[in-house]
Formats: sequence, structure tokens, C-alpha cells
Amino acid sequence: MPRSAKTETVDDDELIARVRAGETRFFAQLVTRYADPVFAMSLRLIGDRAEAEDVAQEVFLRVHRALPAFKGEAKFSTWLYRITWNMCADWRRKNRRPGRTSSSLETEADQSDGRVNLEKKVIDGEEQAFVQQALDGLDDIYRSVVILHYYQKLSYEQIASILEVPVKTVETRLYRARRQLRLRLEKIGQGGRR
Amino acid sequence: MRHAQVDSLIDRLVVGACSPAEARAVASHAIGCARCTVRIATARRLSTALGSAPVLRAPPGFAAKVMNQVYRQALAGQPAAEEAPGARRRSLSTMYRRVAFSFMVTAFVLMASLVIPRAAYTSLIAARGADAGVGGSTAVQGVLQSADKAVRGILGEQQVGGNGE
Repeated sequence: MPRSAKTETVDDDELIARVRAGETRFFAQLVTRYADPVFAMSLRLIGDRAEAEDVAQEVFLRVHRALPAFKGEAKFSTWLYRITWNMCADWRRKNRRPGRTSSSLETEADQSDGRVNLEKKVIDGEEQAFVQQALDGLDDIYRSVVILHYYQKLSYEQIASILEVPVKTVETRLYRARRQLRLRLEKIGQGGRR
Repeated sequence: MRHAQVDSLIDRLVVGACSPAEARAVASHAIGCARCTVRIATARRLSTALGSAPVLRAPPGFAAKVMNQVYRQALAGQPAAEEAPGARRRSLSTMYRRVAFSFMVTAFVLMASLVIPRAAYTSLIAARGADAGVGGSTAVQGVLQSADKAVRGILGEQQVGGNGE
């Protein structure tokens, strides 16, 4: 998920090759390129801005350390997201606590994306809050596929690789997750809201 | 089409995974069913909300912070090429080997500091005895006496006395 045209000019493989050759400064381009999705995934999975930032930083440090061992069997982005996923899962295991309220992630979005259109936010804000509330109540296996597919915009194949499950399992989990979310929204009362 | 059948198709319908025949059947059922109409509407709103989630961006200066740490690691003597998984284990084993080697060297030095002066002293005494037998020079005797004193200082008076001074 490139942020600027400038960083798009060199592809991941070339940057990786240069970093592996000892040109550490090229790692900065990889960090810049993937900072947003890695941070977003961390924040969605962890739910705390400061903790998510720490975990995201640690992800990149680990990636840098492990880069010589990266064989290129999967896309770099998939490998990076798998590391992010694993580190967030570790964090969640060590810091089990009740799910966050929907308002907290909305606030994070307000802080982190000043470009969001104000009118759109007013219209969508309540809907997003309800969806987030329903999402918080899902089991991890369903919540994770929703986050990876809808928020991180990852393909079924990428999600399957990250979660190390068959693609069919991803499809099934996503179907069940959508269904559970809808039922939860109906229960919350959103179904009859409009 | 029954409610349960529609319900099982709704979530596929909103993501376009239903066949045209299924979609038509759901639509015709929904015309006369308020409950299913609401469910379909909820599913569509859910799909829209999921697809238009706010973008979360990394905090300003995030990349700089990461690179600071990366360079700090590099300056600490851990270049990328040595930081593959397992590198930490390897560096630990290297450290253990170095500690063990240091212990061995220290033990050898201690042993040597105890054994060598004793052996030197014994050979000096023997040399002095031989020199005395042939009426050796006073210079040699002086050297031997000063060596004796030095060794006494190391080994202690008892040991020196026991050697028949």
C-alpha cells in the first residue's frame, strides 16, 4: 500500500535486495511504504494507540532482523502482515482484556486521518460505531478475517497465508462473520433504525 | 421462498455471490416480507460500513522512529546480515564459548602462578647446593639468596622453612 509515487518507483524486491546488501537506508522506504497498513492492523487488533505503535515499531525491527532469512516464497507484504498478525496475537494473549468500545477506534481515526471528510464522518460515524461494537463482540477467528479482508483490503489468498489456513476456511469464516455481524446489528437495533 | 432460505442467502446476496435466479427469488420474497426487507437492508448497510471504514494512519514520525532504532542496532554491531532468526541463539552460544575460554585461561594462569615459582625455587636450591660444593661465587650466592627471599614471600615462611633453609 504505497503512500507516495516516489516510493512506488522501486519495488519491494529491489529494496529488499539493497537492504540485504547492507544498504540499510533503503529499509526506510519499506517502512514508509508499509507504516500505515501495519499500524492500522496493529491498532485494529490491539485497540490501543500507544501499544499499537510500539508493536508496529517492533514489527519493523523484527522484519529488518529477519530480512536475510526472507526467501521470497510469499510476497513481502504477506510476510510482513503475517509477522504483524503474529505479534499482535502474542500481544493479545499476554494482555487479555475486555473488548474496546466502538467510540475509541473512531477517535483513533479522527486523530490519525485529518483528511476524512467531515460530512461523511457525521453520516457514517454512527453506522461505523455500531459495526465496530458488533465486531468487538465477535470471536477472534471471525473478527480477524473481517479486519484483514475489509479493513486491510487483503485477498482471501493473502489472509489464508497469514492465518495459515486454507482459502476455503477463510471464505467460510468470512461468511459466518458477516452473518454474525448482521445478526448482532439486528439485535442492537440497527436493523430497524432506518 | 421461505424466510429461512432468504436468511441463508442474504449475506451472499449483498456481496454478489448469489446466482441471478437466487437473487430474483430473494427479491420477489422481500417485496411482500417486511422482516426480510429489513434484514437485507441491514446486510447492505453492514457491507457498506465495512467497505468504508475510516483509514488509520501511522502517527507522524513513525518511520523516523523505526529507522532510529534500526540504525542503533546496526551501530551496536548487529548488522542486518547477522540478525536472521537464530542469530540471537548463535550470539549467545558464542558468548558462552568466550566465557568458558576466559575461565580456562584464568585457571591456567592461577595454576602457573602457583606451580612455576615452586619449581623455580626447587631448581634454585639445587643449583645453590651444587655451587656450594665447588665453592661457588658470592655473586651467584647473592642472586640465589634474593631469589629465596622472593619465593618465601610468595610461598610463606613455613614452606621455605620446610625445605631445609
